[in-house]
Amino acid sequence: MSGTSEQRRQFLKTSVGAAAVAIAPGMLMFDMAHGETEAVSSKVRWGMLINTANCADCDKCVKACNKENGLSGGLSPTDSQWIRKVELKDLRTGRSLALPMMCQHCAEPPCVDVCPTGASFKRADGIVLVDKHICIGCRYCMMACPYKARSFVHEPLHDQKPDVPRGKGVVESCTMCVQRVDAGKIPACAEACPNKSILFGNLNDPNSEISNKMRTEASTQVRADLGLDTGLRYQGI
Amino acid sequence: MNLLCDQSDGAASYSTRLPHNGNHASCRRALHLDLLVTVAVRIAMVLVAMLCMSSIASAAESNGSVAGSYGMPKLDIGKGGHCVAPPEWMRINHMKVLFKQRDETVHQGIRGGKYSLKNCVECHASLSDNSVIGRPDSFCEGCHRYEAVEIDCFECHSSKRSVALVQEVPK
Repeated sequence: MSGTSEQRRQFLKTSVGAAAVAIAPGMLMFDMAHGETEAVSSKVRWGMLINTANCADCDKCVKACNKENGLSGGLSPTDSQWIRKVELKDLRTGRSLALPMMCQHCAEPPCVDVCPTGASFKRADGIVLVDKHICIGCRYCMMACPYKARSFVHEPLHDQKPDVPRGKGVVESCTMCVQRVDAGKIPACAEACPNKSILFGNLNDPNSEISNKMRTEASTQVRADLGLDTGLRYQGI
Repeated sequence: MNLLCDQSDGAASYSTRLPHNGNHASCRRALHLDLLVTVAVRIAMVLVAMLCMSSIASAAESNGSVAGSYGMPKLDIGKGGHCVAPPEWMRINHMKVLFKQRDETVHQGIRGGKYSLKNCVECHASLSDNSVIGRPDSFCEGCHRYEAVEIDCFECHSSKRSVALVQEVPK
């Protein structure tokens, strides 16, 4: 009798052990797969340095942006454009240049100042975004932006990207590819540029490539007179 | 009185309403019999009605239109499997956890949380059309139609599993 009970106890022990061994890696992987990343902090300030001297006659950055964020790529007044290729020409001297123009991710963003609902906001790491759950589509921010960087979605959309939700009735703009940045990648435009004219990095880190370059070479903000402290700087304008 | 008592077959109420002599023994017996018959007939009718209803319910269930005793919608749960929380709890609280995680992700950049809409869609999109909406038995739309709660999420968010989107030609 005691022998049977001992066997039974042993059997139970081994089966529980086997079950634990079988389940444990699955649970571990489940936890790892659902591990939350930390909240972004103001120790980082993301920015870009755009060298217009190398900016060739192409629109690969625009195409990459459209593809990454699921934009139609249309150019009508009601189509969303998060990044535009702008051509400038000095009529007196005849010098012309082209540059990509988009949200400048200001440290003091006018779009955030005017937003009546708090939908337009600046993340701790300097990326200016629209919380579309709060946006009521009033478009004050579009009027306030000196760079004409924001677009309003006029038509219903279908088949949006899972990482880039977009919808009718709200304002949107360049997000500095926040879904890529949070995953440790660089924005799609910076990655797509064949001449590496768009340099993405942390402005708060004195040892980053972008900080080094900005320390040694001249760069300007567009409409620096407004005192917005833009996150995007240009060279050669 | 006798006449009335004799005529009271199956109509006991009449005779009980009438003032009659309480010592009339045969009338009393007849009354008791009548009451017994009426009660028995009623019980039988109730039983038959219950049987009919249960057979109708089981027939409806086998048709697939309702499931369970509350007539709750039968859903296509897609891959299903081990949910991030017990289904009964998720039925009541899914919107709260989705809203909380949504705000944390948008404003603080916290990603990879387990209560993400993308995760819901990945597991629960139908295996036939890779979507959680669009059909009466779709995972999200099934319940939301039943409860008459408008579902706004998918005006902006993708309702399709990522596999379905990869196959499409990028514009």
